[in-house]
Amino acid sequence: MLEAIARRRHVTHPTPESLIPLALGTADPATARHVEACATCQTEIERLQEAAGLLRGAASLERRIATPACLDELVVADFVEGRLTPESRAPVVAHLLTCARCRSVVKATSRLVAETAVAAQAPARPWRRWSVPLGLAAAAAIVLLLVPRRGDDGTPGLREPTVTSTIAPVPIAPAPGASIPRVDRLVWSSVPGAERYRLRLYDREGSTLWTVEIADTSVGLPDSVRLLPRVPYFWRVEAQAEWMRWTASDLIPFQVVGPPR
Amino acid sequence: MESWIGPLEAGDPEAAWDRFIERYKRLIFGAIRRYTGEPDDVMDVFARVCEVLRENDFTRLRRCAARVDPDRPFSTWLVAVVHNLTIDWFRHRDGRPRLSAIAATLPRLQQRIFEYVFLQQRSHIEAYELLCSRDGASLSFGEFLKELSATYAAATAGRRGRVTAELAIAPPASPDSATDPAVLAEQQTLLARALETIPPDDRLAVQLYVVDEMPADQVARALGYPSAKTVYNRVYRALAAIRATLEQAGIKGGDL
Repeated sequence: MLEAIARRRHVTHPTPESLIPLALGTADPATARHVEACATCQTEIERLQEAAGLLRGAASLERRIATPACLDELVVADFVEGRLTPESRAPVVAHLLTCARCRSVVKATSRLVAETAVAAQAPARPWRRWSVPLGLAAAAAIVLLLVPRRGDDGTPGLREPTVTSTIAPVPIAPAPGASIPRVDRLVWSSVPGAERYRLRLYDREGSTLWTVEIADTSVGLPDSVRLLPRVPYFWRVEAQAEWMRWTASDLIPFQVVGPPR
Repeated sequence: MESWIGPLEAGDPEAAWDRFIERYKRLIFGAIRRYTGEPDDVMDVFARVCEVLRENDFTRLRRCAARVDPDRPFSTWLVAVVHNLTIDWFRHRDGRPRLSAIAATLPRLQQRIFEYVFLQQRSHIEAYELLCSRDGASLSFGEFLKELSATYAAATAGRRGRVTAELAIAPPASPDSATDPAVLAEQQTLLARALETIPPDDRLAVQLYVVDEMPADQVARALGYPSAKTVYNRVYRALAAIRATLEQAGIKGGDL
């Protein structure tokens, strides 16, 4: 892995990419502590920031205006959820690279999904039938009393996501770091109340090789997925324990040592 | 399974609507309140969302229902729709008087900037050129960027601030970085050359994370990367490529 190689070569410095969050705003305290005392990394960060500034400068040339080529909300939803195949993603990516408006829709949708997941979990009250627009105002006025008020800090009133103690599924086979003759099935622990699980298999570059959603806690590897021997792969499983809320396992590295299947 | 789809397909759209709104009203309100703290705005936009989803015999809901399956959470589509309707509502419908109220508090020059950038959705460069040519303003691009920053800060404060922020592209954090549109154009040519070799997915990851400031984990999810670390890795590579191109072109940090 690149990181491991980088660590061997620069024993005392953080990996180059771990400077990125620090250069652009956030970082873990350990990296920050190192950089504070390290002139080499500080110089590196300044150069990264200079390049990032150039990228940001392009914003002055962009318009946030809708065109007929702009993405449909169904496409935006699929993109945000990471559900597009590389083929169907290509035209979407090409458009997003040129369209500040659609990128803002993607960003907002992604953020809203993350933020409203918690607010949406509270049980809803039974609601009488009503018609638009007359009944709407009355009914909605009632609802307004039920939704959270504005925060005291002056921010608009969606609740901050609260920390919940949802359990993540635990990968069982292939086990972390396993070198095994072949992989026929992937198995993980069940999560109480989980409606379904989503499994992803990655290659060493981080590209998704295969993804599947299933209600069971194991799944057979289809013939279409060929794993090469002595090449690192990774898998991860997520459980949907509550509506719109996924909990993910750790990323599990493994490799096969047998002949290719 | 979405419980409202059955009645919709069985020809009882009102029953479907009851179930739909029962399930999603909190989500819709939550999404709208993310943009505006004004109770009147929230109610008006909520009414608009209901109106659009119900119009033409529930066309929009039907179209989405046809594609809903266990792999496609309906809610993600719905928040995208609510986002677009909220922004459109503020810009096109009753929004104008409300936006004007924001502009009314600004100095004259900033009012014009607000008009060009927030209402007409022009680029910063275009707004600058219009200010100089049409409004006869005489200021440098650097000064313009400072005015733009002030306008942006004023317009995006307050109870409607978040929705206004969605109408315009944020000004650069340090307005001193480009003091002339010509320099900016030259920089962008170099930038395009540096990014040529980077695959489109990775280029988009860099754009979303660095420029649009989308959280790395959300970028990773959209692009199917295993984790935020992959985003950092791609960003590092892109920034290194940009740096190499700059050095090749003989541009030092101080020149930018």
